[in-house]
Amino acid sequence: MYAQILFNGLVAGLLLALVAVGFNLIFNTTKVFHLAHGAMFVVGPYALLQFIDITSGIGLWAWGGSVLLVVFLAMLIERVVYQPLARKRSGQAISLISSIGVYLFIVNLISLVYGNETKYVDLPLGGSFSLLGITIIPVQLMQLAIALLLIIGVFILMRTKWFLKVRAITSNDTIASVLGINTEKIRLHTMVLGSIMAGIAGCLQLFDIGIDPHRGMSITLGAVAAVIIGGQTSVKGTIAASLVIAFLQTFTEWYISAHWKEGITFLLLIAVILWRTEGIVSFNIRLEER
Amino acid sequence: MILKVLNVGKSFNGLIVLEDVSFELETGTITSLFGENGSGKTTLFHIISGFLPPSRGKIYFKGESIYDKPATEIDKLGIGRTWQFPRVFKNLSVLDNLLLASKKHPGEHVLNYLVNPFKIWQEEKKRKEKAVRISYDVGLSDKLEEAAGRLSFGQQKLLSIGMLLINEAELLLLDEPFAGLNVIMVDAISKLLLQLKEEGKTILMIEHDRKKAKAISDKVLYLTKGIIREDVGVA
Ligand SMILES: Nc1ncnc2c1ncn2[C@@H]1O[C@H](COP(=O)(O)OP(=O)(O)OP(=O)(O)O)[C@@H](O)[C@H]1O
Ligand SMILES: [Mg+2]
Repeated sequence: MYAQILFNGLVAGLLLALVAVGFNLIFNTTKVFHLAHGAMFVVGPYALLQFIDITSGIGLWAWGGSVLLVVFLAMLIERVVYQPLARKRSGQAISLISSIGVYLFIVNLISLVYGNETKYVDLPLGGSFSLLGITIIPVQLMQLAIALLLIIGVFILMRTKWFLKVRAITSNDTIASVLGINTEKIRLHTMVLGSIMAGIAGCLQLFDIGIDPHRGMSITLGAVAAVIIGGQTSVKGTIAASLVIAFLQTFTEWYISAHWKEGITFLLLIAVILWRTEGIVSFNIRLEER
Repeated sequence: MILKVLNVGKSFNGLIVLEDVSFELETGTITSLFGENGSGKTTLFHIISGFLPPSRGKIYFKGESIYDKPATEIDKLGIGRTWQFPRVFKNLSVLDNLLLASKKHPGEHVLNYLVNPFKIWQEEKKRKEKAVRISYDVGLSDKLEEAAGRLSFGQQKLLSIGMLLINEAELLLLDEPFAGLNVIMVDAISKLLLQLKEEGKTILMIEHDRKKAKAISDKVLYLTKGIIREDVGVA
């Protein structure tokens, strides 16, 4: 029983981690509370559905088309909305409101075109099987593999000079540009990368519990909780927090009720913030520098 | 001649800070810039490095006009500077700060990692060695993994000088490098500056400690009432 919860939690946790790491990268570089991230989570799968339709198959073309559309949209949002706001030095409240606007626009457009019912894609991967007392659905293995691959990719990226620049901008974007770092370019990169991660996470969900246009917001709020609990800037902290949240959610779903899934996430968030305002992973700098 | 400043003027909402500033710097020399508090020395640095537009005048770096170029471009051309209040990434380690300041890394473009990871890995090793070497020069070798925000003010200053050293600028603008530093460190930095001069770098520094600054300078500039006066051969 516990093994089953752990396994389901692990898969859900890695999916959440994809969305959360994406949010982390975007939030830390652009400083936008990017709730439109939730829209990317549904744009990915709906684009995938559309391209499966067009190319009548779920091959590389369909995946490529979906990713490309997400990339295009991410660049559009950054260039047309977030970057101009940043240049005008408008505050975080303004960019948050704009982000909600973008979210509503995209989600309502999708629901207008494709309707509100939940969409699934059945992959011919065969039925569930049992291993060490855990019931495993093949789709879960695929989700696990793809999510792990992406997260490993992020860990590799974290060792590059590019990521050092991301951290520099996170720390202080004025000093970063003083040092000749092209902050607008890096912002665009993280928007694209983070959105791809959310888009792929959405696609992965399409194969088991399915997607409807409004599915993006709750997972994004979970991702926000993971980022805050994980210490805001730490990618590893975000991943760890995503796993903890997903375990807790799976556990709640199993023993209490699925309705409490989100409630429990925010209880955890509040508990952590009361206990450690800066999140779990953090360090202190000198008093006079704060 | 590496830098030529010609009839530069700057006023803030009618307050004339720089009236008519002209001077030249020869390649491979150290020049000190003296002047009272508020005389406009830092403002002049802001203008040369492109962070403030001059109200009028011309600036040439290696014969190229730079007075209307943005800061990032001037930085790329080879003019590096420190700030009177050190500007370092407080959440990042000393080592990361130094690595960030080092320029023209092939790994700047993430895709290069896919094309030739080995070359970039080697380059990274070299940069790291250089950063460690510089950390010895500025006396921060035992603080490499420490977050810059935990360093003392003086140490942050040393770090920002280190960041300037690693970025391989040809012209270094130092805003009060000695202020707030212990005598031993002042002597160490002086030695370092002389060594840089030997390597062909040009240095212009603002200082209030005239004795220490004159000791290593080839030329001294005085900024008074918005005008520059020059003393040659004081050393
Ligand atoms: N952005 C600004 N707006 C208005 N006035 C300014 C601005 N920046 C500088 N000043 C004024 O310009 C004058 C020169 O300032 P600056 O910082 O260049 O002096 P400084 O010579 O570096 O002095 P110190 O030795 O104290 O560092 C001061 O009177 C200051 O008030
Ligand atoms: Mg000054």
